[in-house]
Amino acid sequence: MSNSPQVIALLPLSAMIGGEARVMSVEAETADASRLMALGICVGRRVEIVKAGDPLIVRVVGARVGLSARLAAAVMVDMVGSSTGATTAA
Amino acid sequence: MSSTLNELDLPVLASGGAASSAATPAGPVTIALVGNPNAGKTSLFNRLTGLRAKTANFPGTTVEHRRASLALDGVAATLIDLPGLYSLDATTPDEQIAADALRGRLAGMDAPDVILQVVDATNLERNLFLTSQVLHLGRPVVAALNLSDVAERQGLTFNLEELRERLGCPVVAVSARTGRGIDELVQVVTDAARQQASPELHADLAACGSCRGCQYSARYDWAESVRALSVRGDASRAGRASEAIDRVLTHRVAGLACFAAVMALTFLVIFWAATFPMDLIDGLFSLTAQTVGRWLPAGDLNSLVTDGVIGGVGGMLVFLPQICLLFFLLALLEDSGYMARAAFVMDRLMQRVGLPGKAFVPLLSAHACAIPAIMSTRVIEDRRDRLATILVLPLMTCSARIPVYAMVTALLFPHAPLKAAGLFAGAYALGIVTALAVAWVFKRTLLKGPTRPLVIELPNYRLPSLRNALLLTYDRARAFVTTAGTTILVISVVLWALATYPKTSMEQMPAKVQAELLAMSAAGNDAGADRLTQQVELEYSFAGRIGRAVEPAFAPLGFDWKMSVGVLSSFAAREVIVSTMAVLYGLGADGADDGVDSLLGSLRTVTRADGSLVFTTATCLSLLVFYVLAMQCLPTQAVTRRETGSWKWPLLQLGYMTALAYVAAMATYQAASFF
Repeated sequence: MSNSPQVIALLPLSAMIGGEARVMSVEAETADASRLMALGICVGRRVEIVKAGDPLIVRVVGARVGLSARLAAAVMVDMVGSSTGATTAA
Repeated sequence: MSSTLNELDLPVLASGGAASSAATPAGPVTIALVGNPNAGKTSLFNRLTGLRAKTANFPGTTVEHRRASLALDGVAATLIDLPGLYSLDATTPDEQIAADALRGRLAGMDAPDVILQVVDATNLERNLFLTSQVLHLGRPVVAALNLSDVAERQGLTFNLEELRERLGCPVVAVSARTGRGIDELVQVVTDAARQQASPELHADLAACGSCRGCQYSARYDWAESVRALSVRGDASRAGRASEAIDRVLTHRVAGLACFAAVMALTFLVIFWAATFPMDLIDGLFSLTAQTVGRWLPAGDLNSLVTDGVIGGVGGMLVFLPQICLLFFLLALLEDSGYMARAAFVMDRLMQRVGLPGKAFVPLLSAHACAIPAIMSTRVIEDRRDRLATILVLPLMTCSARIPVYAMVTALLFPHAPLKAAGLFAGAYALGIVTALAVAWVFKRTLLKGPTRPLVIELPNYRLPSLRNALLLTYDRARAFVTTAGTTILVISVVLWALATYPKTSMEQMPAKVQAELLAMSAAGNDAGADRLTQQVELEYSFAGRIGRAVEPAFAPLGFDWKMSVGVLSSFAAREVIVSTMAVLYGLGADGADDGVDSLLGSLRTVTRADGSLVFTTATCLSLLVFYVLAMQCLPTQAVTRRETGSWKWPLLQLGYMTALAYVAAMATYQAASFF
């Protein structure tokens, strides 16, 4: 997924139930990926879960974005030192 | 919060260009307003132009925009409000047009002379992403730091000098709501128009454009650094209030309940508050028809003007208050930030039938009138999703169907209000269920394709602008009157002609009718004689003949020839059937107005040639089902044509709805007759 050597917890954004993470990759269809990235959900940005579920709400570059879990599953994130974050996926 | 009264002040710009300048370029300069949705672009446009704006389509498209001519300190200018967008890599038709217009790729439109980039000061970082792309276009750019008053109240301070240097273009802090900084902005834009200076890209920004692969990350890194350098303070607290509200409004259960409550309230307001102006318009048109009718000599011209023109236009305008109220309330809800939440909570449910959450509000609006609903589908990004929504919208029970429902339920259950209410609700439910089912079918066949997954910004809640809502309502109402009005005027005149010609003279009437007429006149029953004459005349007219000709086609539905005429006459506007039936069953044209009771009384006793009753339970149910499902509204078709840009879609709408109505009504009649 990512060529970064010090990956700690790489997981899809849809599996986060809270906390913050850094976006490592976006692998959606072109149009959907463009919409996500234009709103700031792109490699290198920090996202914070405001509301988990489907659809879910994330805070990213100072704004809140609602997105369906189906699309969030295409966004791989790296959890950044957060105690509240946990995975529900294996 | 700025007072809403303040917003109603006239715009600060004077329309006449008193000052003059030697350096004025030839012809008006074009200034394009561009910015993120929710950045206050429309407010700024309204602040700069006020009521002088016109709505126009971009050449060769169905995408609308507003434009206005103004004099900026002696420079004649055309201000163009482009659709809001997050990025120049457009993902929706509206965004594509905005991006093309900025690049000068839109046929018939040159690239703008100046780009007025509206930036939301309360969220500089996200907004600067688009700014970075706009600056790379190489056209003169002026950045308006809008909502600067709100940002300052949130504790943010801006280093404008630093911003100017990092962006390489003029930056003006403004507030479209209060008018702060607008004079300075006008001056800076005027200078930019005169000097035509391209942005001087800062080295950091110039680097962003060089690598295509990671442009999003590079631009966002740049935006983050610019924000860090030029803004002091933390505004994250300001979003906490919105997030607290959202814990309820986006909740899976509570959010849906709140949405239901908001919509119920909206519709209560629409149906109640519209009653008064609707009665007024109705009364006004009756009065006009009467007055004009007295002035004009009796005859065809009189009938054409009073029944055809005034009656037809009045019948359409009577729905205008509901339409305006709907637009107005939806604009307030949109401006407040609530609509994004509504789309958010409805998305999961709507995805099941293959439609996005944003389709829900149009589907609901269609219960007042399909026309504003079709116009409001513009929020749906995907073309297939939008077309599927437009195609099924007219299945929802609009207010024009209510008179027909009322007539049928009263015929069936005159003394059982509970049963009548049940049938009424059933008719609404039939429309909703059919619309969702048909949308599901369309999304799996003709408009096959995955529903675009939800991606929506949830902006901070804010006090909606009355001024913006009023201007939007005015624009949409004007579009309704011109599109729907011209169509219905033509159709009313055609229908009038069909129902009037060829004329019948007394001598041409059957001997039995002549004898009846003479007897009535002799008894002093002039009103009765008039009614009988009207009835016979309509029977002999083209409409009557056509009705007789198509009667066999409607026979399996249980309709007699008079109902067939009624169905045909309501092809343009469904509520017409009530007055047509009043005439055909011998109550006179005013029968429907005199009180529904007299119409119902006579309908209940109407018999067929063989002596059986016409309006049996089976016929009534069949008629009701037919009116729930049939496409009988030409203005809606005209608007569908306008919004889809082709006659293909309104024809498909007409075709499938007519087939559906026919088959369903026939099934209903045959099934109900069986029991």
